Amino acid sequence: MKCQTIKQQSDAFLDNTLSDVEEMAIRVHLQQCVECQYYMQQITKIREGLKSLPIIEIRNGFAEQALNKTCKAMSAAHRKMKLKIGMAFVAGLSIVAIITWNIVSSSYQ
Amino acid sequence: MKIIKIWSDVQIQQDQFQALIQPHIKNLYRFAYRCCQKQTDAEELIQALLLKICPYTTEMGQNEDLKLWLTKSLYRLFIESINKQNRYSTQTESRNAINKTSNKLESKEVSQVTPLFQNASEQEQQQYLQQINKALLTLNTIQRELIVFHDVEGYSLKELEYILDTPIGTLKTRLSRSQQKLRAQLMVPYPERVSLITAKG
Repeated sequence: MKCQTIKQQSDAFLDNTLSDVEEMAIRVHLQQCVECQYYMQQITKIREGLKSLPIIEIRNGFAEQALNKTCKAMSAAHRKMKLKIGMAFVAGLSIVAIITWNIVSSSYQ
Repeated sequence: MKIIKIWSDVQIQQDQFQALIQPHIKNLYRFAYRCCQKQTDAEELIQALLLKICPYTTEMGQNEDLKLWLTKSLYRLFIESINKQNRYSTQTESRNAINKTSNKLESKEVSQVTPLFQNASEQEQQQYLQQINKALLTLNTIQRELIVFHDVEGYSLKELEYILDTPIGTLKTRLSRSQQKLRAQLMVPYPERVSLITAKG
């Protein structure tokens, strides 16, 4: 296996996504080629360095706080929707009552 | 049916929403932090996302891969917020949030110790991480995003295809170029005198 191929397949090798045959070929080459061993070490160092990039951890209590705020918003939206449905129902009943009254009073006349 | 659904106990919906979202908050925060590079901005982004998606609790419950869907929605919200800022800002800052990666590591930031760094001193670790940060700054925004999401956060190309709405072939090419450019900054060339000595026997 050529050194150029090793360089092209280095990420796949480190991710364990190569076939058994390809992986074995790379291992055999690495046993014999110091330059490729060095290259692989450098790549590994960079990959692990990237995974170590710092992050500010999630604040204690943030998840609960965010979910509580969302649930309050859900309750408020729910109350609004109930009110709208209630008003629409009352309006509908009123219209039916008015129409019924008109029909009944005109039939008596 | 919808009226019955609306009239039913809101507590059940809230409990369902919390149960669906709780396991993903930490991952969402990490993604948001990598986009915004600020804790407060990341928290605001997540809160905005939760308020936007809470009416769709039932649909979320039927989603087979909720984690990816949430990440995609978060990313879209992030892009919308950047575009909104650009519309009202005199300076052009399109998707430059990731540009704000500073050379100086803040004292509050915590890095995960990998096997490579277990034997290195803290100073060596900090120096190497600063080198990586500097190298990342030489990439453009799209390249940097890809490296951060794939190499740092560990999203696969298939997942990024869904989240970023970009064909996988395009992502592969971009990622390969980004990695080459980054590694060219960080790799120490093979010491030639050693190879000469080896060749001479």
